[in-house]
Amino acid sequence: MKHEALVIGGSAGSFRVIANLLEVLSGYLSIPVFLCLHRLKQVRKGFEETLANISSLTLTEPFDKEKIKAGRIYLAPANYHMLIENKKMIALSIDDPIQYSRPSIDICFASAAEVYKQGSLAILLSGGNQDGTEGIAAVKRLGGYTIVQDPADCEISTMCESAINLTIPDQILTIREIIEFVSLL
Amino acid sequence: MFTITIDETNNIIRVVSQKFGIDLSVMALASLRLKLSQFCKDHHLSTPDSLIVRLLDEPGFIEKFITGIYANSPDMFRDPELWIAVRDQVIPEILLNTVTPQILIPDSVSGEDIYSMAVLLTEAGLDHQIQLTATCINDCIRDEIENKPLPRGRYKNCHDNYKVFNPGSSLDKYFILRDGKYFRNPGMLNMFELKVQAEDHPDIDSRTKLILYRDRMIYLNKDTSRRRIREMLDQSDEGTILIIGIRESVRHLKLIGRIRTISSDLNIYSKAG
Repeated sequence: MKHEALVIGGSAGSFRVIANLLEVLSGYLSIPVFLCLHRLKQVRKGFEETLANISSLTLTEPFDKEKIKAGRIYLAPANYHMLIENKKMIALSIDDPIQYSRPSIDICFASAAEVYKQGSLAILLSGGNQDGTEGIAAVKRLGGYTIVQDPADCEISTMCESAINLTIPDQILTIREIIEFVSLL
Repeated sequence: MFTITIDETNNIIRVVSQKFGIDLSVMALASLRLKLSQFCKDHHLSTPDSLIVRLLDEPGFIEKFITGIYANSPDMFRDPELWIAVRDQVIPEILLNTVTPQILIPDSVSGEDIYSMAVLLTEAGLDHQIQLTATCINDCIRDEIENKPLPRGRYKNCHDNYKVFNPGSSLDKYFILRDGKYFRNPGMLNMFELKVQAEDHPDIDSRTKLILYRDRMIYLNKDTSRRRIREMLDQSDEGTILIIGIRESVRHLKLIGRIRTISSDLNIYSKAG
């Protein structure tokens, strides 16, 4: 099955991996990338710019109802949930945090899974809570491809261990292997 | 989390429309699904069918349902930099040309923006000079706004925001703590008029100089968002200020020539002539 969208979730300890992933995502990537990272709600500026400087692809924090374009990276804005409304549009939400998190990886992954079904590719990285567990399960249940960072390779393993306990992902990979996988997209 | 699929959501939309004449298709689909899933979880409804059965069989359940579906939970003083701009720039500007202006907060679904504005006006000593009016779509929502307490967790977020807005003060004095929950102060509730009003009919008159419509459009589909904003602009006087949510966009609303940008960063606009 051809991948139609890449969703990446991470929290504490994931920044270094994200930076490496953004470096290898090439300008030829023909699918959209949705990046859902836990971050401080009161810091609205700086994070987007930092990541955008690393990436050769255009990286933005989307506005509500922003059109989805292939080859772009959409970073979930601080203090908003980011949902995939349909294959053409992003929706934001200020509903209550899930697992103390807004943006919630579960919500982002699950909404992508419902829209892209077998075309979704989800990667869950290091983190310190259980957000992402149900999201990975939803992607898997709807036929998408799931990759979880090897807990032994995580700075903080809680998030990936929790996901693996609920769902058997398609692959459990180290940082190096995840980067290699993504570089071939 | 989503426990209801897109097809099941569309089925619920159809049933609610046919049986109760309420059009949920005006809402953004993904967030509606999220709300439906949360509502089912809160009411121990294991399947969409069990939700439909209760809607059809239990008198009064539709009101609870609509309240649950519409109610969002923004924190008070969410985006504190916006509230600072309202206090320091927007309010002084609307007072330049009108002695007793009105601030309107339409389609309220929870009371946090209204109460934040009431606190702001009180602290600015303008509570008797500026009329604060809000609208909501039914009595259940009005009751929630007036009587529902803030849980401790949400109050902490509100308090954190408020400390950015006004570092020298405390939000505690505007609440009554009872059984671990924060109730709004009745004296403050008297500061604003909260009217039940059909969603499609904004009540804007010549005294309305500021419309606070934050984070409402993210719950509506594109066409409905566009229609709501256009209706409000149609009824407003030139110069009336419109504030939308910080991550909402006017780009898809096709408003070229109808609004002037005051702050693109904070999404503050005014109606053009």
